[in-house]
Amino acid sequence: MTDGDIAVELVGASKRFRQRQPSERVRDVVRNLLRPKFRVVEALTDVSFRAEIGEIVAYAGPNGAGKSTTIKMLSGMLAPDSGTVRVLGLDPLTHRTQCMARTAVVFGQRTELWADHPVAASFEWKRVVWDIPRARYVRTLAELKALLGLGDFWNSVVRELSLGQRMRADLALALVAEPDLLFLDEPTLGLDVLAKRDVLAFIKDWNRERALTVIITSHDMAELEQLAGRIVMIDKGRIAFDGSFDRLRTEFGDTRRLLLETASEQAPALHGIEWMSSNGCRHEFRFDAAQTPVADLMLEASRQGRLVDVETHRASIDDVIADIYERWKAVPKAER
Amino acid sequence: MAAGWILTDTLLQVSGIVATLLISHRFSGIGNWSEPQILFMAAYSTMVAGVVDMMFGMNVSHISRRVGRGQMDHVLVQPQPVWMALLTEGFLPFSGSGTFIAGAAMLAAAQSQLGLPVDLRWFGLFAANIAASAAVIMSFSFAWASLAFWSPRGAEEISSSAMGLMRGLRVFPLDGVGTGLIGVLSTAVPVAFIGWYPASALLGMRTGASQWGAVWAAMAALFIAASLFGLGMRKYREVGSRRYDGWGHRS
Repeated sequence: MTDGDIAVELVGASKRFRQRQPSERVRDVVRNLLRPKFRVVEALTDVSFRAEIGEIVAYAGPNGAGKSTTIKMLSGMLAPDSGTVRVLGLDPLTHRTQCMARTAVVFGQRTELWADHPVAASFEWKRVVWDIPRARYVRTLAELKALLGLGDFWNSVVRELSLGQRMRADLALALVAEPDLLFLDEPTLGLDVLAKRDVLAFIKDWNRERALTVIITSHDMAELEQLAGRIVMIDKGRIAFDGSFDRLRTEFGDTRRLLLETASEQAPALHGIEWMSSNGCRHEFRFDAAQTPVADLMLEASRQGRLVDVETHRASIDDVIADIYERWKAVPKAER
Repeated sequence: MAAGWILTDTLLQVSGIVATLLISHRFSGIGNWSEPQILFMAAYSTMVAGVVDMMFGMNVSHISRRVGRGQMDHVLVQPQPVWMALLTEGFLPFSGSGTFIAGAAMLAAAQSQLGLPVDLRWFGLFAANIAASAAVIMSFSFAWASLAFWSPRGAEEISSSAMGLMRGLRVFPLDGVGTGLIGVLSTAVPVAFIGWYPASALLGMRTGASQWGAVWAAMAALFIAASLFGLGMRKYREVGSRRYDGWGHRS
């Protein structure tokens, strides 16, 4: 990989914040004003990763892990305390305007739309500020309007849109300048299943057709797996995993569910597998496929009685991630 | 609906100067200023307020709201300098024009009574002073708003207080006031440059370089405000926004 292939690069980036800790006691009122107490929060510690041009990278982690801090650094909104940040080969702080001309940011909980104006006005504003050639703007806008169904509410005032409509308009607004790099922070927050599917498919299409680099954060892991080939996981400000979703499953345990329907109501006693529940003759187990082969389990179960039906399910990525978060919560930061 | 709002806003803006006009009418002027001259000053300062409303809407003039609510992020994601974004995105040529039009009407009335010799030079001086006075108001708002970078919650509305102070004091002639107070009202609270001083220059009470006093004051005020706000932006990039109000930005 050459430098020209890199869209985003963080090298040893760290960020600390000071949080005020005011006392609730009345006698501390003056002290809270004159000599407030602070605690230092390590938002990011020595974070390094790269994203290639045209790559979709899922950036995940529990609440407060440092995801939004990273996105803000990459967008030139926040300076790192140490380390370097490069976006499209430039420092986003010192070359903010050049970077932002080629970058778009969508925060699911925020909007770049003008709240008291029709949707159309925000797009016209974008055309002028981003200096998009009119012919290209008209062509791209037509495509976006059709794909994201903006026509129904194009002349509606933004404040009156539903959350789903607002998100679609925000996404279109981000893409109408045809950026090279897209930061998405919880882009499908509040969308229904259908709208979410459409938005994800749309992002994937744009990535494939235009080599758009996408860095996406979300709490919906299934969504991330559907979209991204690679996941960077962050916990308490440190990179905890960087690789494919398959490697994530392998590394953190390939947990599966086994549903056995037997002739009797007695659940078979299987070695190296966790019994979860029984409902009549149906019994549910959980096991790690990397440790215990399914064939061995079938053999052992059939020896103990007649099997009527067998089902195995791979644990959803949400379950895998939940397990990982549980483990991280249990392990102090210093021991990781 | 929008027309009703514009009309109401205009009436409220104009009502702020009615007290001064009534006193002026009752006593046939205030101090050395005749009644038409007071009307001229009131008209001038109303036009200045109108320029601010028209050019710096969308919470640009109340910039501490944006800073305090963590909304400078929206400016930073645009591919243009911060000053350019703030200078352009608050332009409200229609909904913000009510006060300006009311001020212009008052100015016409004052002019008909005063019979000022309006030529190109006078008009140039008038335009320069109007722009300078608006710059002084905006600088005052931005300078105080810089506090919101350090105290986002406490200083969120400080621009509103600063603007209110400037608008409340803008229509009083300061000739009879002591030198010390004039000094304060020309520096710490530079309200002298949004009514009294430029109006006296335009009415021919000042001559030579002193006619351009408001322009020099505006340059100094802009320099101070830009320096303080620049320091604040540096702080903003160091600590980020710790609080955020999504629907408030630009409105």
